[in-house]
Amino acid sequence: MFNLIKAAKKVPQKAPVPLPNADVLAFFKVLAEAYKENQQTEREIARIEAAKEILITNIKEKYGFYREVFDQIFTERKAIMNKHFDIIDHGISTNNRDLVLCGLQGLGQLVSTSPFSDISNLSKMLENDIPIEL
Amino acid sequence: MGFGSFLKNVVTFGASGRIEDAIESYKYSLEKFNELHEQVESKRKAVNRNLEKLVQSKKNALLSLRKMKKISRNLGKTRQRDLQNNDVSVDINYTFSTIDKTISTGEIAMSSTKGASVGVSTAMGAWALAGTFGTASTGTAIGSLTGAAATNATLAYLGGGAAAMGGGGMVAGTAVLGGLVALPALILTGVFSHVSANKKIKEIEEKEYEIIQATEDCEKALLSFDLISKRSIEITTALDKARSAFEIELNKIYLSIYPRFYSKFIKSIRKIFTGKYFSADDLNNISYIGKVAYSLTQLIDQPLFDEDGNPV
Repeated sequence: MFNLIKAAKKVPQKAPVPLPNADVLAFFKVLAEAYKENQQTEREIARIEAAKEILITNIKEKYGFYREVFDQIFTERKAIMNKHFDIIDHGISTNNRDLVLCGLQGLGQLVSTSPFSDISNLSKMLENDIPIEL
Repeated sequence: MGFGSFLKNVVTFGASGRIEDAIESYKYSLEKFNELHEQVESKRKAVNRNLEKLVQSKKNALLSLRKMKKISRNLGKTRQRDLQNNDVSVDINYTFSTIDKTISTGEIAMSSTKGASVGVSTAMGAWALAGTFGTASTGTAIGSLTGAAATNATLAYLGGGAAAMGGGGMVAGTAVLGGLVALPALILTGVFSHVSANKKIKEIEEKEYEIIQATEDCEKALLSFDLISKRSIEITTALDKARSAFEIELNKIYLSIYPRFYSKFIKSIRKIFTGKYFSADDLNNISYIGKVAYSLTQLIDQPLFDEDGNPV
């Protein structure tokens, strides 16, 4: 017991080395700034990813819709054209001039009507998200 | 995942893996873009083939229409009076003048185009596709207009007028290539913390976004080419049918007006005595074939593009 007290007395009585307060603060400041910057970058990444998803969806839907509409337009026009062809053929085979002229005039009218005439309105509707009734 | 990647991920606390994921996503978008770009190129060729068919079809129709002259040349100056006296519609004069105009304009286009070319960038192409035969005496200027229309055609009204693939595509392609070259540098300069990893990921994401934007240009060009193809096939089909009907009816009418080899001689004798080369029946026949020819003319005159190169 005596030895222990003796040994304790031999321990230096100096105060511990003080921590550099300024460096600690700077360290935490840098850490906080880095954290903030990281948060900001992550938000931007999330924004770009969302924009990417929206763009991909828009492209798919927009062009899918255009294709569907134009497929229908051209299919319908082809059917009408075939009817005119039938009228012309029938007119020729029966020597019915009125039928031939009727078929040719119908054909001319169909072809002179642009299948793209409503595209501008269609595009505006899509851009403005106006519901389209088919 | 290889050992290298695993080690990188350990050292960078997963940051390296996140960058690799972003690069994979970028590469996927780039591949999709390149696929679409190839499709655009192949569609461009297909469109040109369809346009050439249309030009050829218009040329054939014009040659058929010229056969009208076999009949109409004998109408001469008495045409209007004879037709009116025979109670044939006076519109026939308008019809014949329209037919003559189409024939003469088409003939100028044909003579301005060397050889038998039906190329879309020739004067013949300009006349057949854009319905114009304008200022340039050689047809070069207008030829290049239709050439551009054929290859760079875009529906400008499709959502706001991005450049067509001929221009925009190359620009987009360059941007993409730039991005591709820059990426390995991004990896090498590599990032050993999530903070800098995020910055790199953001850059990659931005470049991927640019690719997706360029993809829209491809989609637009593909749609434009599809529509131009469909429209040109439509006009070609209608034109071929009308030409065939015209040829059949013209032969019938010709045989009806000149049933025998000496019919022309008899008509000439009649003109001496009566002042009329054609009979009333002949004029009715001519009136009819004039209407058929007029329908064919309308189809020949139907342009595929307007002056701005937009399909109509």
